[in-house]
Amino acid sequence: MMFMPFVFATLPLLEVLLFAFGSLFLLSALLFDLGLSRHSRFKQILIKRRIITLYSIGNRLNLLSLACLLVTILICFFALPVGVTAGIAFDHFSLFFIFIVVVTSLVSHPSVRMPLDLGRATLLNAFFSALLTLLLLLVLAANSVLLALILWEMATFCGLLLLAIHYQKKSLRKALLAYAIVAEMGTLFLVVALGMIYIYSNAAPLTPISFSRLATLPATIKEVVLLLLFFGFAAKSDLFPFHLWAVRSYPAIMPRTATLFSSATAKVAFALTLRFYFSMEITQSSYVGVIIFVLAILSIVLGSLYTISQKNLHRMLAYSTVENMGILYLGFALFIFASSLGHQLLMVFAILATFFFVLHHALSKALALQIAGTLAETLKRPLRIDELGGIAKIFPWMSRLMLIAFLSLMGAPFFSGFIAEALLLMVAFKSMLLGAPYILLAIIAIFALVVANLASIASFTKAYTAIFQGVQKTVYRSSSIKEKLYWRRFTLYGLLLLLGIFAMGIFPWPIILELQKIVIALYPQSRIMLSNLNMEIAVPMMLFSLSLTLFFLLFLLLKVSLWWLLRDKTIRRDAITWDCGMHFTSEARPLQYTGTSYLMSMITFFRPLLFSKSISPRIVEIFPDKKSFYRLQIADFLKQPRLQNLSYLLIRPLKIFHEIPRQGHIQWSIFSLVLALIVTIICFVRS
Amino acid sequence: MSLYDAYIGLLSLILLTCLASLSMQRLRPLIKTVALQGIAVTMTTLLYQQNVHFLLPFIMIIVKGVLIPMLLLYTLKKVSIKSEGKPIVGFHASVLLGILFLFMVIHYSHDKLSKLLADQSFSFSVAVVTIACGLFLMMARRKALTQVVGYLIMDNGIYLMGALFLKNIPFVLEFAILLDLLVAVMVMGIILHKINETFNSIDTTSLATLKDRWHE
Amino acid sequence: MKHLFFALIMIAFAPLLMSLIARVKAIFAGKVGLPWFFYYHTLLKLLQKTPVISMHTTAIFTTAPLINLAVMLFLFAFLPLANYRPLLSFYGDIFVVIAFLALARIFSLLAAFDTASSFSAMGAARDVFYSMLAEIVLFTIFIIFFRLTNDLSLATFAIEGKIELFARSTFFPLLLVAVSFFMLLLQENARVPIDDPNTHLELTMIDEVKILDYSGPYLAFMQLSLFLKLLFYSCFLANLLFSQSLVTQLCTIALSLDSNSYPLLYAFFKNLIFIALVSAIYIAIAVIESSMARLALKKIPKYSLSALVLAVLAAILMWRNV
Repeated sequence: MMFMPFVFATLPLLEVLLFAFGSLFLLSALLFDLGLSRHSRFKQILIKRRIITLYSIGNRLNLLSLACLLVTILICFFALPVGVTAGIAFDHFSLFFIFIVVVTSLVSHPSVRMPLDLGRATLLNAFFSALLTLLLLLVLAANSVLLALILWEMATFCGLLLLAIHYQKKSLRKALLAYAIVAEMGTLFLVVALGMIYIYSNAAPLTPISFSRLATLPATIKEVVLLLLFFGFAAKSDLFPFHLWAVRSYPAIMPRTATLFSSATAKVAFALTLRFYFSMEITQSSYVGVIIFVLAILSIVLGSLYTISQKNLHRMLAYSTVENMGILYLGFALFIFASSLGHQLLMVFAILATFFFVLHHALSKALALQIAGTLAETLKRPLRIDELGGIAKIFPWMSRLMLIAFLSLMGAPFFSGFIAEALLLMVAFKSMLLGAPYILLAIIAIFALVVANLASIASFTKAYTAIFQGVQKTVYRSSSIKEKLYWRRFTLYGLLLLLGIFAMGIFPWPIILELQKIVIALYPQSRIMLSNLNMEIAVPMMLFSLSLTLFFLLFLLLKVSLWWLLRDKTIRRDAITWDCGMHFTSEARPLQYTGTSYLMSMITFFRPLLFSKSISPRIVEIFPDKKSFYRLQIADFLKQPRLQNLSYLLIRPLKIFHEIPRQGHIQWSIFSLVLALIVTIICFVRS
Repeated sequence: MSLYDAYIGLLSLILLTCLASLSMQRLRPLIKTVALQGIAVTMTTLLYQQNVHFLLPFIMIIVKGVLIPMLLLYTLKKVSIKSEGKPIVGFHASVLLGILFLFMVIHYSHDKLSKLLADQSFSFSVAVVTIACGLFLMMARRKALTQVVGYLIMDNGIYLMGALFLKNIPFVLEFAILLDLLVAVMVMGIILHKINETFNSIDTTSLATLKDRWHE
Repeated sequence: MKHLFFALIMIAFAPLLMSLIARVKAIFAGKVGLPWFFYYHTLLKLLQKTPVISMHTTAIFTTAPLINLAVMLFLFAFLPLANYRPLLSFYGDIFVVIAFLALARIFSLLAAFDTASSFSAMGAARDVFYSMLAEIVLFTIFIIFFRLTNDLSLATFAIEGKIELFARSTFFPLLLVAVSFFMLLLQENARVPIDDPNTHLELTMIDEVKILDYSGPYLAFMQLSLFLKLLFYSCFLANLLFSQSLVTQLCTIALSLDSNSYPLLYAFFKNLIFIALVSAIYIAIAVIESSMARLALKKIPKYSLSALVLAVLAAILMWRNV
């Protein structure tokens, strides 16, 4: 039995080494390509052949190592005794997140067929994606604080290089700048936190400090360090003030990078935050929980609002990631609230619900982003929702998979999204029992989750209907588009995603039991509480699976009766929907609802919170200009040009008090009076 | 149905009229709402007071429920615009802000001020919300008539809060408040009429276009 | 078992209750009105017809009616009726109910766009917004119920007696909750003042217009699911108003019946009272439909906000001393 940790530690290590070896092949292919111009024409052809061979060998090695790693991780996860750490910090917690990273990179791996020609961008993308995956895997397995943070910084830099591949696109350059600023700001926070850890644990500089030594820091320092670490990791984790780079970059980068960023990097950032939190063993209540809660709620609310108003599918998925990461951190904040009151049952429930949501989001978002990216590559146009349409007739399988991904993200039953959101809602409802100041926070959390769910229903039905259903709104460029879905790559690993989504949705109970091992690994005292929790939610979960069978039986019954009713009738399936005689086949724009008008009333309702600019058609003499249309542009809160001008930010408040506004003197004077009154009351109350 | 139930019912009616006035766009129902609120406030303070002269509440009901609304409706008849066009803070947002403020006040008054208020924290909250609602209407709407209505609501709230803390309000004080209110509304009515004459609307933002006169 | 039997009876009654609405409206209009079994005849007739399907549709169009009807039938397994324990009841089943309602709504929204007709899409555009507002009010009501019962199951809300309308301390707040839920019922089922189910004009439809392109058995399934949705919400409201102690008092005082001495007769009268409550709700819907016009569409958010304000007021009144 002493043998086992050895095996568990070395086998994954070997596979990671194999992965690194494969990345070396990719690196050599890249280097050859970089030095291509030096040779003569004839030699260039030979070298290109060599590059292609190296590229495919590297890809195949990577794929092989990832597949082996997946199998090993699964075996380790099920076979490892609970609460045991094997080798370099290989406990259930890191195994879980390594699993997510491995599945994400498997799904987003490019095809292993020998391509006919390779561009520089593909080679760069291949190598740096492999490097990013490698670094993320190592970060999760690192045992010392210094090593983890160094590897994280390298992964951040690798992400920067990944973004920089398509630097010729203007939108990506803006994203690059935002990423550089935000990521380096995050690094600043992390370095300061690291310095504080070293100082207050009296360690010599640059010696490795294991995670368990973090528990020995003084209490107030722990809170400050945790806050700094939280901001440092949140910068890469798509939370509200730090999300701008992701939103700008998703439409312009390759699908693989988007999937890696959204499903892998953001989750690893969350994992590192959790690991630091649990190593520190904070026992008393702290303000860190409230700060995380506030940022999470802001991410959820603003993320939902902006998801509704997007016109580009990639940007919509990016804002949806912002919203879902907000939900993740909300679960974490509820856990912190419960732990500050010592309410053990709620603590384990909250953290369990959060892990379930992590798994759900990683799988569903990876599927959605991959299909969106494949669609964009196949159609060779940006996926503007209002300009597409009728894709379901051209690419039936892609639209079915996309429907499954969307249904899962919307929280429909039979898919993982429903259980994930229901668990978090249950946690939020139970948090109402925590007592006085937390009741209000719990109610805000419930409403935030509900609004997020409803907004995702609105936005994903908009995306699906406007892109996949109906009739084409524009003529697609190539007249014979075949459904190139890279079956060999996609089917195997895509099936994995589908399996995960359906398994989590229909039989959640076994998966929850397995996830409990992670909680025990993080927090060994929770075994008793977990068995209590099991007694409470085991029966509901199993009854839920039973009720799903009842629904399925009802559905089958109805389908059979429908078949029986229509058994001897021939159904006319060639009727044309009434289109006011304009005939959808003509050049004229068909009379369909666009995505924007579908949600127009919702956007109008939330107008004050969205910074929108509506552009009406210009009038030329007495008629509107034929070429200009009504446009509604919704800009992100942080994209206000005024906010980006620092001097404007500083001077504006002063100007308010200097000038009386042009309209509304009376209201302004009353407002100043009320403000003075409130200040007086507050001073009076304080004294 | 005891007196206490009627008391709580009246307080919730006052609260409902506050939140309703925040969402109203047409001016006639707004005036009728504030009339109802005035009557409800008078009857609430009737239930508070130890010594009940029925004369003064009767006068207050006449003034707040009949006279002042009649004055305002008369002014409204003379004025061109009968509804609030585009307020500074929208109607839905006003109601949501009102609910949020209500929660905060109830939480605060129950938590922190429980020693001061004993079991009257609910009436205190209702009074504070009424005052805040009146002030909000004055700040966030453009039409002058809505601002007069806001002033009336604020006055109702102040009266409610006063009745909460003083068990026996002296007769003279009540009478003085009432007279003050009546005169204020008459003056505001006259001014509204003059504004309407000059601008043919009662949009207060157009007052900014008045120019100073240096000579003559 | 009793619950299953009673649920099947209620489901069979659903079209009869719809014609009750039509007849009450006819009384107001001075007419005789529809025959009592009109909707049964309509459904049977539709089931025998051949449907016509547009060529622009995908499989979603033909699957949506099946999913809608399956969801509505399925939900009755969770709903307690006349204080009978429902077939399926567990902690957290309100989330299952809401999620399945959302699934039905998602599929009807997707199906509305499937035919590429802008008419049904218009209904979907309106519906997606108004149902969003309604869900927020529904969750407020659920928060109130959770704080009263500390449990998240529909059965606990109705049966255990913790939410008792006629108890002294919670009468007024629960009355407000009932009014708020009734406004929610009108909104979710597209009755007046939100939508007029009898007009088929472009300006006024929300729910009817989503199913405009259906024909034959598909239309029958969609119509039946709409009937059952209204019945579901009405039974939920009737559960709130139904009070075990009131029923016991009525039976013992008025009819000198006792649950111990005549169990079968007692159960029969209990069920009868429940059905009478549900019919009263339907009659109230019909009275409102006859006496009010439909609200202008831009006023519907204010309608939802009023329901929210009533629910919030109920919460405050219940816990002003907490």
